[in-house]
Amino acid sequence: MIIKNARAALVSNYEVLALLEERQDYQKHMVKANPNLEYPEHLRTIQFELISFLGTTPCHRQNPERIHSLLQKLAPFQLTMGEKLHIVNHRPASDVDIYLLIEECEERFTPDQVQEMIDLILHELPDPESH
Amino acid sequence: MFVLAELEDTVKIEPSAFIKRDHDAITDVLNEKYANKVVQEVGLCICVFDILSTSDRYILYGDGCSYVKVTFRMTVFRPYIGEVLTGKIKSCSPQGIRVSMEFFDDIHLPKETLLDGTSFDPAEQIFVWNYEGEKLFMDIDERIRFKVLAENFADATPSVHPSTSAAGRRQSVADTTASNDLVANSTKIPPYALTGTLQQDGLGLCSWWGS
Repeated sequence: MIIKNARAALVSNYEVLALLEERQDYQKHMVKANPNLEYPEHLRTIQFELISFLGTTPCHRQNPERIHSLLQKLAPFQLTMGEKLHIVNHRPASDVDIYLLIEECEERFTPDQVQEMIDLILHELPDPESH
Repeated sequence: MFVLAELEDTVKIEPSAFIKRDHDAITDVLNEKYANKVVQEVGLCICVFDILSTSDRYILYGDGCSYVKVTFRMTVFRPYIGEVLTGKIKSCSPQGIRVSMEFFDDIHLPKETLLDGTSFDPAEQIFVWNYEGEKLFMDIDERIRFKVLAENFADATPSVHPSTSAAGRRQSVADTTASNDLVANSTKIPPYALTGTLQQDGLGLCSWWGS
């Protein structure tokens, strides 16, 4: 086994959830067609655990259009890829969250800009479940 | 939290699987090999994301299976250093807190990285944060946000046990495997472990910061 690139791309939680759900549906469909078919247990375990974990994060209510539109609107702020990913995965709803997820926030953005970012995020991404 | 890792591997497809579509047969073999397993320096593999290219398929002499070299991308759990993650407190000990993320359990928050004013309550076996006179309990199963401080890959492949017999008597295979098992069981080093910290505003129990 050769590792060509250990970090070829970053993916958001939403994409992983979508992939897993699609795979699970496909597997169910295949097993229905052929009852003798059995998928390995560790695969089913990790899929199940991951889907149930991601169900508790904000990503399970997202869809590609909203994420795309949010990223477009956040473009003027010139955030790094890691920060944008953080925002999409965590859906910060207050300044404390933004200061936590974005490095050197005080130096780069004014409080008004931070508030603007929060408004954009709350507007584009639907409400997460309350903890 | 997740990355795509580009890997290349040789896949062996058994004749019983020839009836499957190419894509399915290859994906199934790769998933069987990698799902829920840690690959050193890559991370915890989840499942195949897509297949980039395959070589010609060969059937070797004396063996009915078809061999194909595949380049594919694998979804891997590998948070980067400095990433903020959310998990549940699994257990507390005087050394620190163990956090679990359902599919991944080996996350440790050493007691030095907890918030100032945290103390271990031996009666309840949990940590308590003394914040401005208020005692805030860090109970089991509470959702907690932490920042990744470091990651550690430990190679868990069996190693040749160094011969310790002074008399020069060669240890039998049974002896060596028995002692290897004992060593492995006493110090269960996870192949991939994360160390986290709580020392930043916004980290800690989710209930402390509101939703």
